[in-house]
Amino acid sequence: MKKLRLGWNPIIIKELRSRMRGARAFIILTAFLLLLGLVSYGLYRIMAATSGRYGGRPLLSAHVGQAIFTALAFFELLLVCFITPALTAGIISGERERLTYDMLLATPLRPHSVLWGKFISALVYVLLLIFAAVPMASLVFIFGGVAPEDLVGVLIILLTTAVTFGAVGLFFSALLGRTVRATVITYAVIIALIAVTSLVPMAWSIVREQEPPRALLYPSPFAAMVSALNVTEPGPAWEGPQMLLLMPFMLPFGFFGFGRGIGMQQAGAELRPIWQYTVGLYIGLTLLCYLLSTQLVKPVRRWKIGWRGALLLALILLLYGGGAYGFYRQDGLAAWTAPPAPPTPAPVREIAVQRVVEVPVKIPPPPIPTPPVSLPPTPTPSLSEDNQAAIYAVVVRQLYTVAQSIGQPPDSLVVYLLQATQDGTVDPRAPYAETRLLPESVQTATIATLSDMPAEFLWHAPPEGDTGAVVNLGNVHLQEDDTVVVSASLYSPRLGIIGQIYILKQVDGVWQVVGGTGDNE
Amino acid sequence: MSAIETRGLTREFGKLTAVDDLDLSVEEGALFGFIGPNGAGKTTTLRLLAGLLEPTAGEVTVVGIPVGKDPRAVHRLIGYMPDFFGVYEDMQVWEYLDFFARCYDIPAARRRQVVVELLDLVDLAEKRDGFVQTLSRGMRQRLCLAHALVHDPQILLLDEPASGLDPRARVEMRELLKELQAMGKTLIVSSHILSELEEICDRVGIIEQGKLLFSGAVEDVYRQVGQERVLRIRIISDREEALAALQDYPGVGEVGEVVEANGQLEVEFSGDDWALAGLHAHLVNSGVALTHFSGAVGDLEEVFLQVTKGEVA
Repeated sequence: MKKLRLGWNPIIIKELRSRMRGARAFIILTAFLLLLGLVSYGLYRIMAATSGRYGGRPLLSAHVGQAIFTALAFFELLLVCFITPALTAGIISGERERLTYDMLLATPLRPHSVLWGKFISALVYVLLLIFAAVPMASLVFIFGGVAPEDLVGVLIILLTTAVTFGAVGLFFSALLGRTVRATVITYAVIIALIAVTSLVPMAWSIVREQEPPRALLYPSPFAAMVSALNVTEPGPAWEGPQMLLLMPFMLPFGFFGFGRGIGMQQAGAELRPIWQYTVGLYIGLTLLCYLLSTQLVKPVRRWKIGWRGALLLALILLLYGGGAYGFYRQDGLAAWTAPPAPPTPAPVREIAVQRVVEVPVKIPPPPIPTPPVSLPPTPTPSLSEDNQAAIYAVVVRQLYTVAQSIGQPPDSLVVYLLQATQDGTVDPRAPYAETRLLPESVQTATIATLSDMPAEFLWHAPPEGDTGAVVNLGNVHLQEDDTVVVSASLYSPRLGIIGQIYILKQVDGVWQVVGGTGDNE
Repeated sequence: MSAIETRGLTREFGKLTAVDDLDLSVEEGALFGFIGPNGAGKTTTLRLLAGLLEPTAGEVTVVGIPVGKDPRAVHRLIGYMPDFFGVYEDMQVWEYLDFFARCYDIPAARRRQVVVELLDLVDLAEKRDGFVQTLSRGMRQRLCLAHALVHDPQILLLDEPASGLDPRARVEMRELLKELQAMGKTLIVSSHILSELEEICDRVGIIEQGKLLFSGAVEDVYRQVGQERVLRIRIISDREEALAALQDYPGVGEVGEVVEANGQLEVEFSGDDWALAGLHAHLVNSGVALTHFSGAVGDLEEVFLQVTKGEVA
C-alpha cells in the first residue's frame, strides 16, 4: 500500500523561501502600511481642524473612528485591486519565460499542484499585506464608532477581492503565456470591471432619473465595500473636506444614490446587502478562472477531465448552485432589479462601542429653547394626543437606547424633556413647524409610557450645573403616506449631541420606528 | 527490453512537422547520441519522450510503459535536462536541489543525503550555499544535470548538455556522462556538435527535418552511410598520372583541386572501407607518390555532413 505522505506542496515552500528574500517584499509591505497610515493620520487632522465648521454638527470621537475606518477600508481595497494581479499574472507565464516550466512538468508533480502552489503563495503575500494592516485598522477602536463585526465584513470583502482578482491574473497568465501581456490584459479587465460598474449606474441614474437596479452594482468591489460599511449615511464624519476622499468610491451609486442608506436594510423587503451578492459572484468567477487555468497548464491531454474530475466538477457546481438557490429563495429576483437605495430611510444604526475617548473637540451645550409660554398649545391636526404621546415615548426610548449604546448611561439617571418643541435641531432641511408647548396630557402620557425605563424622565429644563441628559423633541409631522416624521436630539455633557430624524408608522395600532435619517429631502 | 521505444512518433506544429514517423529503440544501459542540426527535431523528440508534449500520432513506451497512459510513472523513471533552462532567482544551490527532491516526494532524511551526494557528483559542493543566479554557465549546466538525478532515474534525457561550455567544461561533462553510464543508467544525449559524442556514445541516431536518417552502432554509421565521401589526397609525383590512375578506379567521381590547401585533391568517392583501401593500393601500385590520404574514415562530423547533405536549411 502506498504510504500517504501529507507533505507541503514543494512549490509553496520554494515560493515562500524566495519571495521573502531580498528587499522587494519588505519595501512593498512598508510602502503599503505607510500609505494607509498617512491616509488615517491626514484624515484625523482634517477632521479635528474642521470640526463643526461644515454642516455645523459637533464631532464625536466615534465619528472620527468611523471616518478613518471607512477611508482605510477603501484605500486598502484599492491597493489590493492593483497589487494582486501584479503578483499572479506572472505565475505560469513567468515559469514559461524563465524556461523552468518544462523542468517542473517533467517531475511527478501534477500541473494543478504547480498552479495551486504558486497561486496560494502569491495570495499568501497579499494576505500578509491585508493582515498587516489589521492592527492599523484596530487603532480605530481607540476612537470607537466601529464594531468588530464591521472589521470582519471589511476583511471578507478584501479577501474575496484579492482571491478573485488573483484568479483572473492567474487565468490570463496561463492563457497568454507572456507575463507582460497577461499583466496588461488583467489590469485592463479589472479597470473595465470597476469603470463599467461605476459609470453605467451613474449614467442610468442621470438618464432615467431613477435609481439603477442593484444588480448593476454587484460586480464592483467598491459597491460591496460601500454596502458593508453603510458609508452612504452621511453622519458628521463625512461633512467637510474629508468627503472628497470618498467621492471616487461613491461613483457607482450615481448622483441619486449618494447620500442614501444603500447598504442599510430596507424597511419592508429585507434584501441581502449588496456585498453578499458580490462575494457570491466573485466566488463563481474565481472557480471559473481557476478551473480553466488547471486545464490550460496541462502539457498534454487538455480538456480531458476523467471521471474523478467530472465528479469534483459536479460537486462544485452543486455547492455553488445550492448557494445561489439559497440566495434566490430568500430574496427572489427582486434583489437584482430593485433600486439600491431603499424607498424609506433605514433605521438608526446602533453603534456599539465600549467607551468613548475624548478627542480635542469642544462640544458646546446646545441652546435650550425658552418655552414660549405665551403661545397657545396648537394641537397637531389629525393626530390625537394619545398618538402624539405614544410617538414621543417611542422616540425618547430609541434615543436613550442609542445614547446608552454609545457610552455609559447619563451620569445621573435623570433625563430632562423640554416642554417646548423645536424643529431643525438635527437637520435644517427637516420638516419645520413653529415651536409650541406640548399639552399637559401629552407630557403625562409620555412619561407614563416610559415608566419601565431605568431613568427618570422629567418635563422641565435642567437646573444649573446638573449633568443629566436633555432631550429636545420636534413637532410631529404627519406625512401623506400615514408615516410621521419627528426629529429629536439628546445632549449629555459626556457624550455631546446625538440626534436623528425618526420616521414612525403605526403597525397594528403600535407606533414603530421604520426609518430614520439625518438627510431627508 | 528497450529502455525507450517509439513507434511512428509524429508531432506537428501547425503545418510544420517537427518529428516525422520516428521509430527509435534505445537499449537499456546504452549511451545514445541523438544527432542533428539545429531545428532538426531533437528537442521536440526528447520532449515527446519525457511526456511533455502530446504526439500527433504514434506512441512512446518507456521500459514498456506507454507514456500517454501513465505520465507520472514515466516521470519517476526519467530525468530530463532541457536544452535551454532557467534558474529561479533568490534560491540557494542546495535549496534548488532540495526543491526538486521534494517534487519527487523524497523523504526529508534521504533528501539531505541526496543533495550532498549530487553536489559532490557534479562538483558543486563548495557552492552549496551560493545563490543559483551567481553560478557560471558550466556550473548551472552541472546543477541542471544534478536536478535531473535527484530521484535516481534509470533513464536520462539530456538535451544539449554541453552547449555553450568551454572545452575544459565540455571534457568534464563528458566524463560525467561516462560515469553515469557506468552507474548503469541509460542516457540519451542530443547534440549538434558531433565530435564530443563520437568518443563516448556507443549508439547514435541521426535526425534531420524530423526524420530519423540512421540509427545504430557508431561503427555501422561509417559502414552504412559512408558510401559516398570526400577524400583529400596529396600527391608529390606527376599530377596527370595520378588523375588518370584515379579515374581508372571504379567509384571515383569528380576530382577537384583545393587551392587553399596547397594543391591537395578533393575526390568524391563512393564505396565501403574495403573499396577505399583498394583505391589506396591502386594508387600506390600505379606509382603515384602520396603523402596524404585522408577523410576516408573521417569523423562523425563528416558522416553527418554527408548524411544530411543538401537537406540542411
